[in-house]
Amino acid sequence: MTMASPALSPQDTCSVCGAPLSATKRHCPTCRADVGAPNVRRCCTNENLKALATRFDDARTRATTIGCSKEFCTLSDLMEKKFGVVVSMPAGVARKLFEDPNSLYANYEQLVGGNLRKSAGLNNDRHRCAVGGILFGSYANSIIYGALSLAENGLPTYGTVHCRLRSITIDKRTSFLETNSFKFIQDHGIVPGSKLPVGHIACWEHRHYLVLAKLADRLSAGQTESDWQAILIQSDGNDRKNDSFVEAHIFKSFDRNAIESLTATTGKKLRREEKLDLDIAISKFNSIKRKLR
Amino acid sequence: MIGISSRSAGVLLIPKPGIGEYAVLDVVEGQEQDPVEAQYIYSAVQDWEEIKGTDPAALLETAKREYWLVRTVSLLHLAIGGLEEPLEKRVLEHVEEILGSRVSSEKALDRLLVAPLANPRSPLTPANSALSYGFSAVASILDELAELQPLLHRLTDLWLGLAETAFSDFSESREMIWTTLVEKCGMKQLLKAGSRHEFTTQWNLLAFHFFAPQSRSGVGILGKELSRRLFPSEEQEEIIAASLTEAAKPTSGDEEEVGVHEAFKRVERQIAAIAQAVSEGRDAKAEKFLRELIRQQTSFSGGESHVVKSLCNIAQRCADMFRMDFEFVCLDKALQLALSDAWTLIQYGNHLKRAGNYDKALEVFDQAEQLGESYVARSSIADVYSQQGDYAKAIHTYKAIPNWNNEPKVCTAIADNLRRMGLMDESEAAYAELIHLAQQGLSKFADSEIRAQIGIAEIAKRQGKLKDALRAYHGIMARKNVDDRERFFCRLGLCHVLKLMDKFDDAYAIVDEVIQDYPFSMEARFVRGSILGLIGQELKGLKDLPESIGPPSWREWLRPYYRGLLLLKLQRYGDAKKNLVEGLSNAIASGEEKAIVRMAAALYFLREDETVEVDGILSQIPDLHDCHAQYLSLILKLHSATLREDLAVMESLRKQIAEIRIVDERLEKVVVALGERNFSLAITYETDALLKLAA
Repeated sequence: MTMASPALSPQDTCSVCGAPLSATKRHCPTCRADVGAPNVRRCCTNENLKALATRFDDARTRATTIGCSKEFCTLSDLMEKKFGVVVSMPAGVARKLFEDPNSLYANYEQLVGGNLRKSAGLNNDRHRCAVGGILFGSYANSIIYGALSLAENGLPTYGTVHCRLRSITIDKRTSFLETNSFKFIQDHGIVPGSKLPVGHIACWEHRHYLVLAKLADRLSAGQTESDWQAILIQSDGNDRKNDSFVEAHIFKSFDRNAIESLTATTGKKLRREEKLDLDIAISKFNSIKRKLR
Repeated sequence: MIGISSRSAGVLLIPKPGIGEYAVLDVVEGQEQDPVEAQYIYSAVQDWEEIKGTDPAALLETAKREYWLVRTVSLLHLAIGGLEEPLEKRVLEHVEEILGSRVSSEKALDRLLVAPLANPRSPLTPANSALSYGFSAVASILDELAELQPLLHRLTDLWLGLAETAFSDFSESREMIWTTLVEKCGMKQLLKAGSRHEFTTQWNLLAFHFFAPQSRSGVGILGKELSRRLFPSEEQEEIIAASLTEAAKPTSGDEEEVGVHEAFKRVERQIAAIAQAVSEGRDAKAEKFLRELIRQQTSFSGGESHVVKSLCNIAQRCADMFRMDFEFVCLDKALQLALSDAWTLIQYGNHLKRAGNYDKALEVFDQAEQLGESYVARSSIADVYSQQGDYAKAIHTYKAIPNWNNEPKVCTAIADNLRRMGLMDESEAAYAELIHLAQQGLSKFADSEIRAQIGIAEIAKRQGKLKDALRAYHGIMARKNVDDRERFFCRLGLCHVLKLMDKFDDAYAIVDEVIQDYPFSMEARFVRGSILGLIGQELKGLKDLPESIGPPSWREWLRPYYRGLLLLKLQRYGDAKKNLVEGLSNAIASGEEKAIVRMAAALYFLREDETVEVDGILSQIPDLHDCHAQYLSLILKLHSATLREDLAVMESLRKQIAEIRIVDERLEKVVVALGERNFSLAITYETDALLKLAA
């Protein structure tokens, strides 16, 4: 197997000015050229790509052995066409996404600037950074977590509202980890300062390698798209420890225009204000969609 | 102790002692969640905020307070932006509940005032919906938000127009200072400040939210600069004048030659644009246009005299809008260009008179007299005495003008003052004499006939002869030789008579037409607002009675007066008090006008059952010559006596009332209502009587 994209290293030099690049920064410190999201660049090191290719090849062999080479190929094709990222969030956050002060006010940006709030010193937020920091270092706070999905739903344990994102808005800045990052760190015994095991992360272009490497052993003859969605995202809706999914890492935030579909978790009892927030988000999303048509 | 709160997710992270981890709390329920959850909450970094507190309970309390406040503002944003009907009702209902128990309306409104709305009227649609559902707290906030837009526009215009150097003392960004101002400083109070002192007092609260001494001193300097611009006064004139003079210098000789007609048309358009900007509270824009006008007009040879006329024209429009501050800016500039122009001085003196600065006005008129305009200057001096309520002195001064009885304007002014003194027969005779002289064909008196007939109609109105007054006004309106200014006053006079006759639809039609013809006349808008209040459309009426932008001026007392009465009808008592009671102390009025303002303040205290205040205020009301005002003052005194259960006074007042001709049947019903101790019904009738009374 060969990988299509050039193998970059986080320690590479800038293609524009030749200066050394930081593994954790998106822009060249010297000429400010955009050198790509650091989480994506890390997936594209020769070492990781080789390891991922090896795991993918092994998976295909295993699938063939169990008589599922057809399913392996179908799933691989399907992934390129239909797989997307779903971010799950509380209803209040979804509602907030659809509030747009810039369209409501005149001179809003001039008066309050881009950031209305003085953001918290999240670098000191050990809890939020404990895991993210191990995986991403200083840009951990720039990572938005989602799940790879064949459908519109995500993980109900992470929020009431599932937003499937338009691929074009995130494909250059999204990477994938084969499982929940907490579980990954736990399973691999990773501690701060450890070198991360290779072959378990992928950029957008190679996301199907990661999924097939993970799921090959669970393929069986005659499986359909809904079966694969069921094994790709597993959750009992209550305990996150029982969740299983491929984790998406999006570098930096997104806005409402990045949302392709918006759905609610079914069967979960919501508080009154959560229900209201959810209905607002859905109504606003539908209204935007109607306008775009 | 420092916690981290996400205001949209409603989550608070509280540090756990010793172990370097955080407890994750649901702000709404106050319950601990799965500690893993925080990492996965998708919420923009800006949504997370550090908060300080002495212990976890205090942190949770702060986070809760902020969560509900931000939620309220967010939901109101969505309502203003437009929601589908069933959802809108749910949102407004939810906000109404929050406002009833968790968030103060004042704080929510402050946050909504973060920037001027792109469409200043956009809150009115959800406000009307809220009102129709009975969500009065939401309706009030949205309504006030719309009302405050011109004031907010004005402040933000000034703010964005400040040079970057004004912020050089701060370590914080300009945007951060504005945000802190909105969140901590009480924007509503700041916008409503009626004087430099009030503004700076409110503004200086901001200093407590900055820790660096330089930033604190910067807050003070900024506040001074803004208050200077918002409230130009004598020591600030130089600054405004200097900036305008600089801009007014003829730039070069390469100004494109334009035809006289084209230039005239352009000036007309410029003046209209300036007036429009002033009416919207966009002072920075108006000043920019003004500088451009001056630059263009002074680029012509002899253009100074034209520009002075233009400036005086704009000043007059500002006066019609009760924008004394911008009127002053125009007149100040005009005087710099033509200090020895007596007519400009007289207009400036009139400005000072309307501002209640009587001594200074008299000085300026003296100067004008020395420049040769003796007749107009002396007449203007008499006008000052008249406005002060010293009608006898005014008449004496008019009669000291040489050959006064050959000056129709002076004769008319004397007749007017006689009427104000309550000398109706003498006044009517004086008006009749003017009409006689005009009908004899004396050309000099031709123009005074209409004015005299208006005076006679006003006398009939004051005597309660409403049908006579109506007939007189209709007669004047039917004439063809009525000029625009006279027709304007005539239509407003007719409108007042119709109001007193309870013919509100007819009155509305007339005043609405006046507003179409004179969109900048605030007085006409005030009257329309009062009629809307009388027909049960108080919220709509308030739109015609916005908060004042400039300092108080003569006749502007109508604004807080009507506004306060409408707010009283809407049961917004705090705001009603501010307008009616504080309005009384700020009112530039005298004679019967002052008495009417006092009665409105007394009505507020009657509603509060504060009879000591009521009696104190009513005792300052002199004998009134307008029968409507006289009747109402006795009714209010009876109301107070009934509250006090002072039987002797009640009996005496009932006798006095019985002796007076009934001029308003609904007021007669107050006597019945008070007899039944139905005070709320009495207040309703009294409020309407006051809405009808002022003219």
